[in-house]
Amino acid sequence: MAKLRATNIEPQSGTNLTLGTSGDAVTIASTETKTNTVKDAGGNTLWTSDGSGTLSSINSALVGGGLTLITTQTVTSAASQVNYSTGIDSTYDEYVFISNIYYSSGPAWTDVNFYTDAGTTAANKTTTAFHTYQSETIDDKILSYASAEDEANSTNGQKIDNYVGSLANSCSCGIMHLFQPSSSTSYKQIISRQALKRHDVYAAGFMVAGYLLTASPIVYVRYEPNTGTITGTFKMYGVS
Amino acid sequence: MAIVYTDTIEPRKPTQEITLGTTGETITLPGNDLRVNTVKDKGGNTLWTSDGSGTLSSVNAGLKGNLVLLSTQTASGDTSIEFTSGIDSTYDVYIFKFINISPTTDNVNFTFQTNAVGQTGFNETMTTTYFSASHDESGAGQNVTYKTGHDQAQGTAYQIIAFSLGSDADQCCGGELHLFAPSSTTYVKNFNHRINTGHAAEYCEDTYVAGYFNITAAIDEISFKMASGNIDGTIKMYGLL
Repeated sequence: MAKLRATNIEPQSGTNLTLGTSGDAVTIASTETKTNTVKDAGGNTLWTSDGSGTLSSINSALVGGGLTLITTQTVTSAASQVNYSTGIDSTYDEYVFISNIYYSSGPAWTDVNFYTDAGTTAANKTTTAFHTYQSETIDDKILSYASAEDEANSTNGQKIDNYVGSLANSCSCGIMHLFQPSSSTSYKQIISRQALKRHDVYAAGFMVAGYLLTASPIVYVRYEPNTGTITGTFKMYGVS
Repeated sequence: MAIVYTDTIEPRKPTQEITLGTTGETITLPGNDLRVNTVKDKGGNTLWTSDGSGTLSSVNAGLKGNLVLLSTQTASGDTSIEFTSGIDSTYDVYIFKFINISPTTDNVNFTFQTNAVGQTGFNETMTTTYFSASHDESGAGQNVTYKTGHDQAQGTAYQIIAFSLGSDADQCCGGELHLFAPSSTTYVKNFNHRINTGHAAEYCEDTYVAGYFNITAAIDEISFKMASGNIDGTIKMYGLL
């Protein structure tokens, strides 16, 4: 075995240093290897680190084709709106929004709505809404259509919950799916389900689904309480 | 500091290995990038392989995340979308995502069935539930109700998972179906499903279907089709670790 001992190996000329040729194996027997960018032999980036452990330009096969976290908004100061104004495009066929919402100020309770815009124009929507609830204290439970909570071809905000209170432990948590928002042909399908503790100490489930009656791409999603302000954690994922 | 200047380092003999450093050392590559098509760990296990054009294969499962895209099928006027490989014991849960599914014929049902290992035909016995919420674009027809005609009791027909789809250019449906532990040879195979539909009569319908295939044989194939006519749209199959 021939050994070469050196601290640095640098190109003799130019900027390329080649180890081995096709068919050879190069073993890095050290405990660790440090590099910021790895490309394949064709020069296609597989991943890049900023040197602080934050990766970017990750090849899609290395992130699984599953859920990709696009945006996290941790709202600690009472806000009247939470907006997703970038990142909704043709990159993904499906976007998933996970919301952990606390109603922080205003009247005793409110409903949280979501709005979607195609460009700067609010998208019309037709939806269904039904809910289940059960009281913590009395025999009062139901599964019923929530006829006042749906929308028929309107640009109103769509409720994703109702009667969320500002009690310390009242909250609304759930998931909304938005399918192929970038389509310029089809309506955009949405399905949402929230679990909540209401202001009147009821446990409730709130199920909404529908479609956005626009052939224009949806580029904007907004969560907003009817009244008052909210805090919480809001995450948007792309599903590839 | 010893510096070696060269453009290429090759093994002393062809196909021999080149080894950089030893245990306990750190190799730093301060160049702009490291280019390689196959990366293995020190035990020789492949972490990934690139074809040189950025398309990876043999990606180690630990790099893929927990929701793994297994297959994407896009239909354009096809009779059905079938997944006939990739359903096995690798994953406990398989998720099928429906992206802009629409029929080529107006007012038809979107349906699914499965086939067990070693069997022929999509005709497994299932018992199911079906309920939905509906609302007309004009504001009428609000209801949530069990649909007694849409379920099955030990039936072998294709199960309705979206009712009476419209075929207008902008009408479609979107949702997902979860199939649990299809490779079990002990238990029935449970599934649940939710989809929103653009109905042929201009209303939306939020549909929930659940049930089980009442068989102990493993399921390894699944079929989606319209009750009549052909299908457009994309279905993606994921495995959930």
